[in-house]
Parts: sequence; structure tokens; C-alpha cells
Amino acid sequence: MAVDNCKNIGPLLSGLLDDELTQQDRQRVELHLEACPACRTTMEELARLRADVGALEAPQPTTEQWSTMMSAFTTKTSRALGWVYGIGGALVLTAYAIRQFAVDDTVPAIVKIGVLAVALGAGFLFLSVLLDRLAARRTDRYEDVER
Amino acid sequence: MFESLAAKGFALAVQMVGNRDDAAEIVQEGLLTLWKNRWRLDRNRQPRAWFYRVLRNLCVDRLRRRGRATAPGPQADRLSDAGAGDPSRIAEANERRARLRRELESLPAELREILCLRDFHNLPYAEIAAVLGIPAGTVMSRLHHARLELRLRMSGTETG
Repeated sequence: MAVDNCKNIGPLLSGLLDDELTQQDRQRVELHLEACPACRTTMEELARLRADVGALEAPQPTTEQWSTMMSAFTTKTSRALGWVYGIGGALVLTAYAIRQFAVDDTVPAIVKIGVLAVALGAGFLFLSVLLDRLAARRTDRYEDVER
Repeated sequence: MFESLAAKGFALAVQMVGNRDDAAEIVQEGLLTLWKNRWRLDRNRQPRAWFYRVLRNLCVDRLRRRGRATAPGPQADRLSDAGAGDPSRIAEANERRARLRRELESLPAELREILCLRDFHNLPYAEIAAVLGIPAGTVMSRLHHARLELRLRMSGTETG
């Protein structure tokens, strides 16, 4: 009886070994193992093999290989930091310039209005391009494609 | 987090493609993909599985380009030995390990990857399914097939 079930029980031996079985399957396999010396032997051999594979030492990268792995990542991080500091600095300077321009009594009001209109126009253009790009990115069918 | 993933990813890539320089390039590419998708990664409940999946796909691409999807080949880098204690037992253990490495490396890629993911990297079945893009139910049967194949090869080497 037990031997007849060996083929069906087979994969469940691995499941038992990895503690990935449901309670029902676990009981089923344990019952089978009690009656089947062949499967018990298989189970012991697989357990030993599993332990041996797990005991193999992980390959370690050399210093050069580690540099290769991290180089692109380091470059990207540096670039991101560059953008953050660059944009942050530009915003601070722009805010200061706007404030100085606004409180400067030597500049006629009409010039201030003109500069404000040009700045607003440029701002709206930038915003529309940004929104277009974001919409395109959201509807990109290939966004989830992984290499 | 990235450095830990890189180290583990390197081990997986070496096991997949059998060459350390190739593995380093693959991990570099994988990290780049990880960087590009870092915002999505935060929402991902299985970042390790996601990263391993990217690496695994890159490894498969590399093996296809090389035209050898079954074995890493003669230039394959080996998983190194480790052991301590009685010299004769160390020698015996090292010999068995060397044999195990050879047989592991000669397995078809499909069997080698699932064995490494479970027995070496200790991924649970659900994560292995996510990495390999297969149903969770298939993991157990494929893994068992891989273990039986490795056992068969090991016993063949031992007796032969």
C-alpha cells in the first residue's frame, strides 16, 4: 500500500523537508514514511544533500568585481545628489533675486509687471510640458517590462 | 540594503552563469534596474524576490547569448570550500563538496536555479515562485525533481 503511493508522495517529501506542507499533507507524508522504508531512505538522502548544498560557501566578489557592481549605482547616487543640491541652490537664489527685484524702488512698476508676466508665461509652459511627460509616463505600456 | 542585495545577488549570478566577471556585470545591470524602479520597490512586498527575478532574467539572457543554457562550462568559477577539524575528514568533506559543486554546475539551468534558490539562498516557495514566474504549486515538484536528479548524479559519481 505504502509503496503504491510512493510516486504521488514524492514531491511532498521535499515539501516536508522544507516545512512547506499543509497540516493535512504533512500527516499524509508522515503516515506514508512510517510504512515505507524506501521513502524514508530517500528523505534522509535528500536531507543530507540539502544540507550539503546549503553548506557550500557563497562566492565572494573580488575588490574589482565589487567596484564593477557598485559603479553604476554610485554614479546614479552622485548624480541624484548633484540634482538635489543644484536645484535646491537655484531655488534659494531665485527666491532671493525675486525678493530683491520686488522691493527695488528704482525699477518702474511697468517693468516689474512685464517681468512677472514673462516669468508666469515661462512657468505655465514648463508646467504644461511637465504634465504631458507625467501623463505619458503613466500610460507607458512598457513601464513594467523588466529586462 | 543595496549592498546586501548585491552580495547575495552576486552569489546567485555566479551559480547561474558560472563566471564571476559576468556575474559582476549582471549585478551591476540589476542594480541599475533596481535604482530606476526604486520608488516602485518601496511598495513591493518582496524586494528580494523582485531583485532576484531581474537578475535571473539577466542571467538567462546571458546564457542564451552564450548559447549554453545547460552548463556553466569549463571556465566556471567554483563555489569555494570551507572546513575545519580532522585533516582526513576535511579532505573527505572537501572531495564531496567538490563533487557536489561539479554536479550542481552540470545540472540544467532550470533545475540548478531552483535548487540554489531554495537550498543555498533559503527562499520560501512563494518567493521562488515569484522569482521564477511559475505557479507556487510547481515549485515543490520542480524542486523535488531537481533534488532527485542531483542525488542520482551524486550517486553515479560516488559509485563510478
